[in-house]
Amino acid sequence: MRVEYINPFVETSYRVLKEVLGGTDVKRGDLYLKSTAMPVMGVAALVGLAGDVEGRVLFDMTMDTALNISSRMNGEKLPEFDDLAKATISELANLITAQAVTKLHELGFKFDLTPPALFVGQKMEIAALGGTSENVEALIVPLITEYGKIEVNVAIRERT
Amino acid sequence: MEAENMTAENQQVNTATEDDSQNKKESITVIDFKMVTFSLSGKDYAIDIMNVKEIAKAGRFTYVPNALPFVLGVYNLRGDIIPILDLRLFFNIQVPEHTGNKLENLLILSVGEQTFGVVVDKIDKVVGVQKSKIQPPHPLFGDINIKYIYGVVEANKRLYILLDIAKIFNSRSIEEKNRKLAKQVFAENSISSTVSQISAREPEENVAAERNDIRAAGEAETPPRNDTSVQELKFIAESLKGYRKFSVTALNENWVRSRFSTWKEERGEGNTQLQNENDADAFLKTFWSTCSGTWWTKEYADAIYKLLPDNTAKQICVWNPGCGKGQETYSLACVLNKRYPGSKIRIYAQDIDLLNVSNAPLLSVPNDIAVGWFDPFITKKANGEYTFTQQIKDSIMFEYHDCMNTNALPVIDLILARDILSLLDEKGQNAVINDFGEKIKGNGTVIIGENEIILPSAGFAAKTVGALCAYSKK
Repeated sequence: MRVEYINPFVETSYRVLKEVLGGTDVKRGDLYLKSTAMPVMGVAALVGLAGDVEGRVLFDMTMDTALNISSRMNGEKLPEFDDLAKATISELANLITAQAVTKLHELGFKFDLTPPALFVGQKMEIAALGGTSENVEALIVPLITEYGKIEVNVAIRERT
Repeated sequence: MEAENMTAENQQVNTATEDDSQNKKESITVIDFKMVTFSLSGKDYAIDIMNVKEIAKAGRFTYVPNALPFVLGVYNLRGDIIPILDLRLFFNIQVPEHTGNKLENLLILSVGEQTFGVVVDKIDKVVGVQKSKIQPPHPLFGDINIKYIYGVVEANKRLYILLDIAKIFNSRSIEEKNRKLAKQVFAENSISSTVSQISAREPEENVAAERNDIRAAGEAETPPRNDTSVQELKFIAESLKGYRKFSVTALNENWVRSRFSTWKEERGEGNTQLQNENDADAFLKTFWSTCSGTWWTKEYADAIYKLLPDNTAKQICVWNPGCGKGQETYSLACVLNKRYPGSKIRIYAQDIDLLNVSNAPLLSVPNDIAVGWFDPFITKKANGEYTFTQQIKDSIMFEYHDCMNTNALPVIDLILARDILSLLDEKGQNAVINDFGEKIKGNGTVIIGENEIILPSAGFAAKTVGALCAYSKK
């Protein structure tokens, strides 16, 4: 992944998350690359990217984390992962991606987004296949908060 | 012939002016040396006419496998089979592209008992000079190694570089002979006696047999002759892997073996093991290629420049896995911009070190580097620091990417992967080399580390230009 793309995603996910969680402590884990089919922890919000590039951003967290975060964002205790909670997580994904894309636009890269899609379930796996039947390479940005861990999983490649 | 006429004239002049004053006499040319002149890449050279049997035009030489790179093949000269050499390749001068069945200009030389054909750009004429006017070569002559120059002489207001044919052919063949002899001696030694004689120069079969020993010593029956040595080498291979992720495989085995023998001399018997990272670094010190991971010197940049084949493509794509901090990538970008001014250069530079590669796009150039050969590609930033021009910057795309994962790349003209393959495990090496084969164009060039070898089985053929070795698809 092009190095210019990395920082906008890392920065905005950190900043937005900190903001929506009311300024709580957010720690950033070490970034790394991953290229295997990944198990999804329970809730995954996915935003597609198009334009100069092709790819997607995936926000992966456990059900508990998703519930905690949506409760915090809505200012009320949500007992179950209902429509409001789903909309909240989708919105969070949208916020982060959109701000990252705005930043990238300022740097001269043109990206378009798809509306976020949300996946909920147990024992899910995401296998994003590349052109040659191998898995695409993704940048993982782990973000650790007191409400649980979110993994931002960014896979972008240039159109060739 | 023009030259003949001229000679005759000169001789007439000689007789006519014999009675003239002493002063004038000195300026008279006595023709006692004739040479055949020709040109190589626009410059004038000459060979003693006594060595030249004839000149000819010929082409489509019969290729001889495994010959030295400057040997074009053999040619049937009225029943005599003679070897054909390309002087331009021999001297590392640019060779104009061979187009189809175009006939080459050939000088048939006889040196001692042997007859050779040499290919030159253009054969000019026969020029007569006075032997005493031939001046010794100046050490500053760049293109051709000074030891092959007999002298320089001026005739008709042109300077000719007179080549020493005997030296060119003898020295090379003697060198070759010595090298072959050395190989044999080394091979025999390692069989007969000392354990330290594991040499990089052993024949391929031995290497192949012992390769297994290094990696799987212990399980396999190792020959008693160098049992300890194989063990020690195996430990070193493991330490290198542990400390510096350096995998000893067929790729670099030759180097590791020869390094091991010098290492033993440095450290002494029984003290060869690598105890820590520092030892591993010391062992690998001579592995890294010239200017690896740093700014290229003018000499190295020029060597790469010469190595690059002509390419008229509109866009030239380059893959540079393991770009590190980017110094090498920028150097390459400058060389490519110089070499292919009419093409758009696109370099995919990748590294798995996030910090290094993230800073690469913003790299500033130290002052002492900026004034050298990089100068045409440098501008000054607002704060006074030097940086590369936008054109150079735009030609490079730095990526945080592990080349062992899927490489999403277009077809590539040039791959620069110096010293990086050895840092992958064996499976990774094979996968990446395989990927090289998939991504590279038919006429593309692959440059790997100076101490690394891609085995012929991977579908690549090596070619040597000057001190550098590059690979292209078979």
